[in-house]
Amino acid sequence: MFTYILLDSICKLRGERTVSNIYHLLTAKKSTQTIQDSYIYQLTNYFGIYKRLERKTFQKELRHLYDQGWIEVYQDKQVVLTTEGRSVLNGFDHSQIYLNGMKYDNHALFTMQVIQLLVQTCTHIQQHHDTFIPVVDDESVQQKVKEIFYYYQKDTNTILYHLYQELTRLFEQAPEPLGHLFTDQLTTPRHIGSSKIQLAREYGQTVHDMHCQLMNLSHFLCFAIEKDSSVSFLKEIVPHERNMNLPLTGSAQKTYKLWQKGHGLEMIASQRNLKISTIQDHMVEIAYVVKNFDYSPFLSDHQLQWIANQIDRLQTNKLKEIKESLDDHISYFQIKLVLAMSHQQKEGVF
Amino acid sequence: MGELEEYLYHYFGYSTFRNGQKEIIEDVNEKKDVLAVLPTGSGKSICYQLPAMMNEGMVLVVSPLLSLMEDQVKQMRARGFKRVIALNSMMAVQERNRQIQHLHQYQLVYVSPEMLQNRQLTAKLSRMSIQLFVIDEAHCISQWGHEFRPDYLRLQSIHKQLHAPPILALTATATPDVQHDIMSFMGMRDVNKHIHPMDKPNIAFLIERVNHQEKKLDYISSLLSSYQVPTMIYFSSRKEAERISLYLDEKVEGLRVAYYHGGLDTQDRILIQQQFMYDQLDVICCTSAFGMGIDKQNVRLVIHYHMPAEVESFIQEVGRAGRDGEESISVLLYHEHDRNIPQRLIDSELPNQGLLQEVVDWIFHRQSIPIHEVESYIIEKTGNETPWRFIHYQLEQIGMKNNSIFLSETYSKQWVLSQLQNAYQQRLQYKISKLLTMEQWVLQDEMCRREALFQYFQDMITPPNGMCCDQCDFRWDHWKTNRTVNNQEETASTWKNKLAQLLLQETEYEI
Ligand SMILES: [Zn+2]
Repeated sequence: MFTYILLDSICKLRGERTVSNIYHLLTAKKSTQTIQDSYIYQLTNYFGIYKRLERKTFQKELRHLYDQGWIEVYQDKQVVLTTEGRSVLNGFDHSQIYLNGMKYDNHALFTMQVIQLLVQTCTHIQQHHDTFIPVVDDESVQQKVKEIFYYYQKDTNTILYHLYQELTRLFEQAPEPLGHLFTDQLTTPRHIGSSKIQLAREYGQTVHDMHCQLMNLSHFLCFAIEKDSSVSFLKEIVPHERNMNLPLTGSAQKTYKLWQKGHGLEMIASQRNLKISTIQDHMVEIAYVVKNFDYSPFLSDHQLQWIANQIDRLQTNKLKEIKESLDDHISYFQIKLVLAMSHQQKEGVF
Repeated sequence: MGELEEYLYHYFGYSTFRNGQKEIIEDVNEKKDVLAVLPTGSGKSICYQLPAMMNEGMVLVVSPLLSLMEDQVKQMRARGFKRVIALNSMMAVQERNRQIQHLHQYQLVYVSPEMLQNRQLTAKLSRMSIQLFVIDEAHCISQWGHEFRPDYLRLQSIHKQLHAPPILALTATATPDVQHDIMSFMGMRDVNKHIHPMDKPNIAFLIERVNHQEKKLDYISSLLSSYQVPTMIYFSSRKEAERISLYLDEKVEGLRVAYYHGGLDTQDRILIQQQFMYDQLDVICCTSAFGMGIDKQNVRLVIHYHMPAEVESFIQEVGRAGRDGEESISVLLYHEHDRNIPQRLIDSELPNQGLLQEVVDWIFHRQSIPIHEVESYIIEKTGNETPWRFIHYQLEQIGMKNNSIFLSETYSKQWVLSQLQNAYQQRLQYKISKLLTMEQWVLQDEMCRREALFQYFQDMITPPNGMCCDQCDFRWDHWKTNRTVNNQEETASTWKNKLAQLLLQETEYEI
């Protein structure tokens, strides 16, 4: 699956970006550039799905693709698929991929871990094992599980019964390995769950493939919980609150707050002691995710139409090409804004 | 049951103390300064945890081992004691500041030595009533300790700043010289010493020299084919730990093996540790990162695939065997090239000559430079914190440290450089002599291994209650040990059945 994701990313970037961009995408090094690129090239699904990936490992995998003759690398580190690579990519069955990185991001891991820790907690308490080392270290997950546990008045039978009913329902609709993978990871007093590395060996996959499989599993869970109206227990304990946090960099988040208060770009720049171009980049990020983005301070309707037409005609995402086809007084900032907004129209983001 | 035993039972569920714990706690409760040398696995931590729970006032524990602190906090919380916290410099600043503000809510506070440089923290601590100042791994204070940590030398002034509460200095390994260093440096008076021998009567020592590296593999796989018992195999590299783990998994039928090192995900680390703890795994191939936080009683075999860089680490790692008192075995495998591995580790721990020159040039060029800039530069360059700690301490000693900057003005560059180089040479020589001592033990064939190993630390050895060593009386066929019970449950055929088995197994009984 990891190979598929790499090949698919390379394919979608069409040689217009470097390999580093893919690395930043997978590890969600949240820079404005990474976020913009992932929208432009329709790679939002893979955003942040492998945050612990080391650069060394990433390069080794690319090297492997290269040795197989599936990719070609140009001097300036741009990559494209070879004909062979393309046919390998087309050979993959991608109907079972549920990844949606930009949407679920940290929520997916959170959901998965809450369920795992809830199972561990309830089965232990039920069988009178009051002390145990939690398999999840994350404080926010532990907090959440505590809340659920007390909300259901420590009624472990009820919690476990609901979990069983609803998880079975969801995994019956899922592709075969997901139910297995899910149960193999669970920890109860009689059995400690399998680690990622152990699962990889059991399923005869690389650790990277297994990582992606497990991410896919957690994204499937989020997706299924959101979609299936009958899993009310899971919906209640791990709800996905839309737009609670817009997928913005922290810095863009701050800019957005000031902007909402009615501050202008220059003012925000001086308040935050940042360059105006940085604030403009934040606005572009915002234009990708905020519905009905108010572009009027930056663009006239006429300019918007004109830029949009040129993008349509040229069928490219290369800023320089677009800029050259327009008048000098149209700025890169304006072009990026239009790219962002036209992306929203196409995708109907969120 | 005495009063202390009642507390022990109430908080920990044990009805008796292990060797030495009670006497130490009694001294601590009488507000005396205490130096305790207790072997690993003898329950050092209870000596301050129990006073923290039963007495007024806070107990402050200084420990360099991040993961150990966190494990202990977890275990205590799991037991229901929530007023415990670990502060370390890895935390986000906001989170840390929030915790410092609320510090008075805790009775047991673990801090790393670096954290004690945080003025906000020391200011807060000096306003609180501290009943006990615990120095864990106290041998780090001594220049002659195998793990000398310059940060520990600041403990003296910090202890004063906190109005000099009673001290409990704990360590698992300390020669008489090191013990002396600890007490005199911390200004401990009327010290009550509790020195326990480090040798355990139930561990036998074995050295296996091979003339080809791959023979180690044959040796281990044939050994583990005959003895499927809880085993730890120590490696000095992550890669090797992984490689041998996979090899054994394929080679030895029915053996359950996994590897563990600092490079794994947090969740994978927890799972592997717990699996080993509950006998779901037989063998752990690990680096020294493993084992500090876990208290597994029935480890029967500790194998060193590579020779450690000093005797102290070796004793500590071997000490994880046979905590339940059953006869257990330490095997060290040696190939003559092995001495290069710890040599490389030593090199990576010390800043090399080039780096010293570079840093000094830089500081003199800039004249004044924020310390954190130097810190991140060195850590990034070497990928290791130890060289930075070394340079930081030396510059501080020279007097170039001025609050949070290094100032070069009143010094001669040549002189500073030569000071650093001397210190470097001394440390290097010291480390190499440690390595030679280790190797000497491995290569000597005249003495009993047990006597030779412990001669640096104690005058007498406890007579073994089983076999002694391969020089004396060791024979594999005299080892009476039981196979690990493989309590693997019948695994259900489909995930759905398995899920039902896991989630609903007890429900029927309770309805
Ligand atoms: Zn002997």
